[in-house]
Amino acid sequence: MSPPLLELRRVSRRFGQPLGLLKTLANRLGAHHQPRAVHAVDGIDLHVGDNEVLGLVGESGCGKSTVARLICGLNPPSDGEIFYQGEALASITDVDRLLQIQMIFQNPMASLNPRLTVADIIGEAPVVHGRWAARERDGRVRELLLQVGMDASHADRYPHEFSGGQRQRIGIARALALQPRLLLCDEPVAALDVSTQAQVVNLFMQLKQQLQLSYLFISHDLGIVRHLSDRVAIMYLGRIVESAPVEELFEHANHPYTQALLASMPQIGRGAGQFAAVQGEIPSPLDPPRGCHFHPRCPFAMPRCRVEVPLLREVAPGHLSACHLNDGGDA
Amino acid sequence: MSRLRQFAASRVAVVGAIVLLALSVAALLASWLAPQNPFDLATLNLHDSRLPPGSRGVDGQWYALGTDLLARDVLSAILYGLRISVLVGLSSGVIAFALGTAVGLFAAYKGGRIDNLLMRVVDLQLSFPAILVALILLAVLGKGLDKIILALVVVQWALFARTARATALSEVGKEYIEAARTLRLGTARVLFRHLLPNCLPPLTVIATVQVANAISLEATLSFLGIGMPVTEPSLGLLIANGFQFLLSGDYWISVYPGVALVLLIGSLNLVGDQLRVMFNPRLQGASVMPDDTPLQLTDPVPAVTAHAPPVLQVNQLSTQFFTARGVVHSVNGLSLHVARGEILGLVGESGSGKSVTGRSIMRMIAAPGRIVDGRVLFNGVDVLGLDEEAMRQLRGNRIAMVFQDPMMTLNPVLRIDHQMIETIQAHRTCSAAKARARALTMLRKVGIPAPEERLLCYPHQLSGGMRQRVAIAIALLNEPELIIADEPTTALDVTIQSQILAEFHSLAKATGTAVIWVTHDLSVVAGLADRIAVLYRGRIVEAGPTAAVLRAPLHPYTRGLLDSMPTRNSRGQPLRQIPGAAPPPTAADNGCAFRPRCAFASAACAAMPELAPLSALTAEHAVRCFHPLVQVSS
Repeated sequence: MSPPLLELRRVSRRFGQPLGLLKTLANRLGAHHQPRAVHAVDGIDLHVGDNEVLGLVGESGCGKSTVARLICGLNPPSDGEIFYQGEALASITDVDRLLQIQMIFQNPMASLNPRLTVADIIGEAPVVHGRWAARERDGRVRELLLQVGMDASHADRYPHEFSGGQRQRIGIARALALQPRLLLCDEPVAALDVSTQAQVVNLFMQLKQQLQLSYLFISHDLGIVRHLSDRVAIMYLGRIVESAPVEELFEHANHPYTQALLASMPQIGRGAGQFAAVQGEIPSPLDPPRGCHFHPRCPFAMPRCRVEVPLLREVAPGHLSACHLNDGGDA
Repeated sequence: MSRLRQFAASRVAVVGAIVLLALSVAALLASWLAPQNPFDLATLNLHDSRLPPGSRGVDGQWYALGTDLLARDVLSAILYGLRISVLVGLSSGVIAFALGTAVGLFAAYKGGRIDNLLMRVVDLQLSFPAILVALILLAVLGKGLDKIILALVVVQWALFARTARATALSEVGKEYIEAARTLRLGTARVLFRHLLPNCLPPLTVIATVQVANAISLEATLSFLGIGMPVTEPSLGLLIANGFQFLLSGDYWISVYPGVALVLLIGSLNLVGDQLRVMFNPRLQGASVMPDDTPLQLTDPVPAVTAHAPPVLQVNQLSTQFFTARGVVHSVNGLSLHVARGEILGLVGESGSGKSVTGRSIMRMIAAPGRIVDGRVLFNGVDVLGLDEEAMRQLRGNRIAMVFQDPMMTLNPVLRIDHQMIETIQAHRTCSAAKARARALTMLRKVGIPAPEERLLCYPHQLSGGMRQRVAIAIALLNEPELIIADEPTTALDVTIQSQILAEFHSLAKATGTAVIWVTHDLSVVAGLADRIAVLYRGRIVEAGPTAAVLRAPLHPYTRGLLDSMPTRNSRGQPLRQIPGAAPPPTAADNGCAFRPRCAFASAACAAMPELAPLSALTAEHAVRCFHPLVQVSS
C-alpha cells in the first residue's frame, strides 16, 4: 500500500516563553520552575489521502490553524514528525516538492500584498522558482484567472479594487500557480458574505475534480465541512477527539463533544427558542483540565475522565473516538 | 495625482512646500545666484567689513543684507551656508534612513534573539542625548563635512530602526507575508519587495522631520564651533560669527542666517506634518460634509398595524456618509417596527446598512456620517428630535445596545462590579449595596457561574464568551424596553453562541424587552426571531414572520441566501450561488439594487419597487420586488 499524501505522527507544538535567567539559575540550584507553555497541538495523528478532503473542525483556540502552519513550515513542530508522500517533511530539500503544499488564508483583505498588481501576486513565485519564463508570465496569469472564474483583464489591477470573494479567488490562483497537490485551507470562506461563500465553495469542489487536489479544510462551520469533506476530524484543546468518514461522523457522532457541536449548530429549520446548549466555557489552553480535556463540560463525565487521557480507538470501521465511555465505563 | 490634491488640502503645507522648494533651489544654485564667492579670499575687501544691509562697498558692490567682520556678503554666505546645511541634513537623513530601516525590518522579520540583540543596541543608543553623542564623536573625529555627516548618521539611525521595526511588526503578522513565506520567496525578497513598501509611509514622514532635526543639530554643533570648519561656514557657524556683534547693533550678521535656518526647518516640519496627516486616514476630515442644517423630516407614515403598539417605530430613516469618495447611502428610507417582547432579526451582508440602522436608532452616528431623513419613534417620541441630555437619559437605560465586541461596552481598567453599579446609578438613585445585589442577579440571569467572584474581576480576566455575557447583563441592568444587539455572537464559538441565544430568547420573553438582533446569518435568527427583515444595500427587501420568510421567501435575494447554504443533502453537488457581488455603496442607482445579480430581472426593475405585501391575506409578509417568487400551490 502506498503511503498517504500527508501524514502527521504524534505531532505537537508548544508555544511559550523559555524560563528567564533567574529561574534557570534557580533550577540549577534545585528549584523546579516549569516554563509556561501552551500545548497548541498536543500529539496529534492525521492523514490526508490523494484527492481527499479532510475537514478539520474545532472552536477558536483549539489549535486547528496551528496544524496548517506546522504542515506548511511557518512553524516547526516541537515533537513528532510530518510525512509527505512517505518522506519526512523536515528532510525534503527539493523546493519543488515542498511547493506542492500550498496554503489558502482566511482573511482575503490581509492575504494579498496591497502594493502589488494581481499579475505580480500570482506570477511572482513561479517566475522566482524558475517555473515560468518572465515573458510568458502574463499569459499564464490570465489562464489562471480564467480558471478561478475571474476576468483575464483583472491582471493589472490592485487587490483593493476587488470584493472579498474575488480576492479569495486571487489567493487560490496564487496557490494554483505552483501546481500544488495539497491545499491547506484555513477558514477560507469564514470572512466572506453568505452570498459569495457558495461561489468559493463551488470553486474548491470544481478544482478538486479538475486538478486531483487534496485539501486539509479547516473550518468551524459544520455545514460547509459536511458539504465538502470526505473525512472529518474534530479537535478540542489541541487534541483530536474524533475522526470518521463524513456521513458516519454526522450521523453517528460518538464523542460527547462532537455531539454537543452538532447540537449547537445554528439551523434554518430550528423551531422557536430551541437551543441545545452544552454547559460551560472552553477552558484556557494555558491551564487545560487534566485527563480528558472535555470532562468539565461533559454530561457523562466519570471519575476516570478526570485523571486519564482517553486514547483514540476505532469504534466503527474508519471511525476513531477518544472517549472512556467506549470502554464501557470505569475500568 | 490624488495624492497631490490631498497634500494641497492644507494651505499651510503648500506654503511650506513652496518655501522649501525655493530654499533648496537657492542652495543648489548658490554658486550662480550668489553675487560673491564668500570663500574666495581674493575677492574680499576688508574695507567693507560690517556694512549694514543695503549699503555699497568701496568697489561699488551692492550688499543687500550687509557684510560680516571679514567683509563677506551676508546674502552670499547664507546661500552657500544653506547648501551645506541642506547637504548635511539630506545625506545624513538618507543614510540613517536606509541603515535604520534595513536593521528594523530585519529585526522584525527574524524576531527572537536577533530582534532582541538589535533592539537592545537601539535602546542603548537612544538612551544617550543625541547632542552628547554627536559632541563626543566630533571631538574624536575632528571637523569636516564627512565627519559631521557620519556623526549625524550615528545619532539618527536608531530612531529609524525602532520605527521601522514597530511598523514592520504589525505587517509581519499579516497573511500576505505568511503567504510570501509559504511560497518560499527568500528572505531578501520578502523583506524588500513585500515588507518594505508597506512600511514606507510612516518612515517617510519621520524622515522629513529627521532631516529638519539633523539640520538644526548641525547648526547647533557648528554654532558651538565643533561642526563645520571656518572655511566652509554653515548657517550655524554664520550665526555664531555675528553673535558677538548682536549687542553692538550689527544684528544682520546673525539674524539673516537665523531667519534662513528658521525658514528651512519650519518648512520641512510643515511638509512633514501634512504627510503625517495624509498617511493617517483617521486625521482626515470629510471633504463634502454638509452644514449642520436642521433635518428635513418627512411626515410620519401611518403605523403598520401590529397586535401590540410598537415600542419602536422607524419611518423612512436615511443615513448617509459623506466621504472623500462620494456620498454613501448606507440606510435608504428604511421603516421597521418592534413590539414589546418581540425579537426582530435584521439580516444583511456586509455593507447592507444593518449596523448603521442600529446605530442610527441610538443616534450613535459619528462624522462623516449623518442621519439625513426619517423618524425614530420610541414609545411615540421622536428620538431624532431630542436634545443630547434627554438622549443620554435614554441610552443605556430605556434603550440598550450590545456590540459584537464586548470591549465596546466594558472599560478595561474598571472592575466588573464598579461598571455595573455605575450603570445603575447613572440613571436612578439607588444605594451601592442595592445596585450590587441587582448586578449579581443580572449576572446569574445571563448564565454566569460563580457571579460573586466574577464581579471582582477585570474584563481581561474573563473569556470572550464571559465578557459578552457581562456586556449583555449590563445592557439588561436598567430593564430597557429595547435592546439593539449588533452581531453579539458572531465572534463566539458555536457552543457558546448556542448558550447565549438560548438565554437571550428566554430573557426577552420573560421581561417583555423588545429586541433588534442584527446579524449576517439567517440560521442564527431562525430559532430566535419572531420576525425577520432582510436588508440589501440600505433597503429592506423582505420582511415578515420568521417561519414565512424562511419557508417561503418572496424575494429572489432571500431565496438566494437560503439556497447558498449547504444542507445535509447537498453533499457532492454544487451549491446554488448568487452570481457577482453587491454593487459599491457609492453607486447611484434608482432601481432595484439586486437586479444585476438577479435571474428574474427585467426592464421594470430599473425603477424602485415598493415594499408591500402580496395580498391582504398575507399582510404581515412584505416584499420589495416586481417579480416576487410566488409559490405554486399544489
